[in-house]
Amino acid sequence: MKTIFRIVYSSMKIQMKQTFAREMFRYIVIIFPLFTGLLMGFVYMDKSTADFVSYAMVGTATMTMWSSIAFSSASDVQRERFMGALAQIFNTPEKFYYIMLGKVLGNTLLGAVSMVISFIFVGAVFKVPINIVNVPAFLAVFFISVVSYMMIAMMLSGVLAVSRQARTLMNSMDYIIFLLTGSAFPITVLPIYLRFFSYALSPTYAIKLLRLAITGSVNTSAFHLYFVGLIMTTVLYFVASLGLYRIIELRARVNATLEVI
Amino acid sequence: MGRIFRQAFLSYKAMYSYVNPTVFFLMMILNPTLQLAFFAFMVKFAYGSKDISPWIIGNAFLLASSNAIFIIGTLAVDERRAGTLMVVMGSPVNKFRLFISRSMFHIIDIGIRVVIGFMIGTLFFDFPISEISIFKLFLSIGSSMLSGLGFGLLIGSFALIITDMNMFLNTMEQVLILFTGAVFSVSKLPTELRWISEIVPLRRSIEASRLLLGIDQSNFYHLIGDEILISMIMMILGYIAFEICSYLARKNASIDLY
Repeated sequence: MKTIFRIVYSSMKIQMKQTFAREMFRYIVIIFPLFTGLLMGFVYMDKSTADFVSYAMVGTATMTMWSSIAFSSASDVQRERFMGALAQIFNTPEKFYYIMLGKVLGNTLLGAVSMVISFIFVGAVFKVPINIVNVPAFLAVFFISVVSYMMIAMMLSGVLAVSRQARTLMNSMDYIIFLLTGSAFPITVLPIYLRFFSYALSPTYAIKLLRLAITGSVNTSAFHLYFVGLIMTTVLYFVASLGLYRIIELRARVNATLEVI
Repeated sequence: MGRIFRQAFLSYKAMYSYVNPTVFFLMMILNPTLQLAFFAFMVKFAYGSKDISPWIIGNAFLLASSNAIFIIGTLAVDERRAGTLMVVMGSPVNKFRLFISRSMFHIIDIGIRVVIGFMIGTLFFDFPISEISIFKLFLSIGSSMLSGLGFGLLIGSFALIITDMNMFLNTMEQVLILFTGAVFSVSKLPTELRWISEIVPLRRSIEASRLLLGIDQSNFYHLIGDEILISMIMMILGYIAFEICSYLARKNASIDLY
């Protein structure tokens, strides 16, 4: 267990150092949250404070988090490939899964920072007071949500490692999640056949729970139901990511596409 | 002319030859559908209006921005990545014209994406395509294509001196989303920021197309003319920026730096 922690920590440390060295880091952590916050703020500026907080502020924060994780995880794989390091990482004696977990953890921590920045920024620019009624519930949901986003990122990074079209796929992942998880509007606006997919995605539950924690509606059946949903989907993603990496390790060797640009 | 066409075709082929049909479908159909659907559902909820046609128009044009920015804007970046930028820069041909010729198919792509956006709007969001002048709509799509070319060439010129273009290009995309009035009315912007929406590409194409939904279309040709003028100014600025940047890149030996 100690070895695993060491691998994950080392990988995370290198990942974060590499990220700080890139200009794109400033875009992900600062510029994207600010622009998205402004966009959402202007769209929702005429709505009630409750709607503004729920959709403009929570929406911006979760969209920022998702973009940060999805873009970073995908582009990290692509970058390693361009540098010729992907195959070497893949063939180290330590498990590829743990190395990638460290990278994803690094991205997630930075994503969490940008999430907080965007939340505060939108509130400050549009002069909406940040009033979280149930702070412990909010923090608990926030923590589990971050873990859940990490598990999604793990699945994505694995798939992208064996795909030559990582860059293209990376750009397809944003709007599908924004749309289906109801980050910027309630999912009841969506046609009923799309809502089925929404409930298979953990960010849907995370967003609903964050909104309920802000309003203090934590002792409701809806909160408990969504909480179970978040935990179950997160566990499911964890198991799926483990299985996926086993398949990927085999496929990468059979197809030999790991270094094909 | 034949050389220009060959360059354009090769550039397009180089961009997409590695992509399989499924991913090409993702890029051309699914991505625009999802982006348009996201903004359409958001404005439907946020503005509480049943008729979201003006916003469908705005977002259909916004689909053009990604091609202009991430494909035309990265032509030099891709050359650098392939290790051929120095060869291109050292060749005796007019480099700016070379990049314009390489953009040709991507410009057509921009037009196709906007058309796809309108088709999606018609199929899923009851956009009244039968009630508007198709000729005028194509005219505004044409002006957006020119605008996309001008903007792409202008920002792409900076690839010669900027080592990490991703941040710059992504920021430019956000600027377009925010200031073209595609998602919210520019009247909501603070007065100090409204001047930006006056100079960004696509805004007038969007505004002109929105006029097609109403009775008073007297301002249509004026807006299209303005959009074409802006795209021409951007191309001239692009040329100047390209010359300055290529001089700086040679002077600082930063052509192949990334």
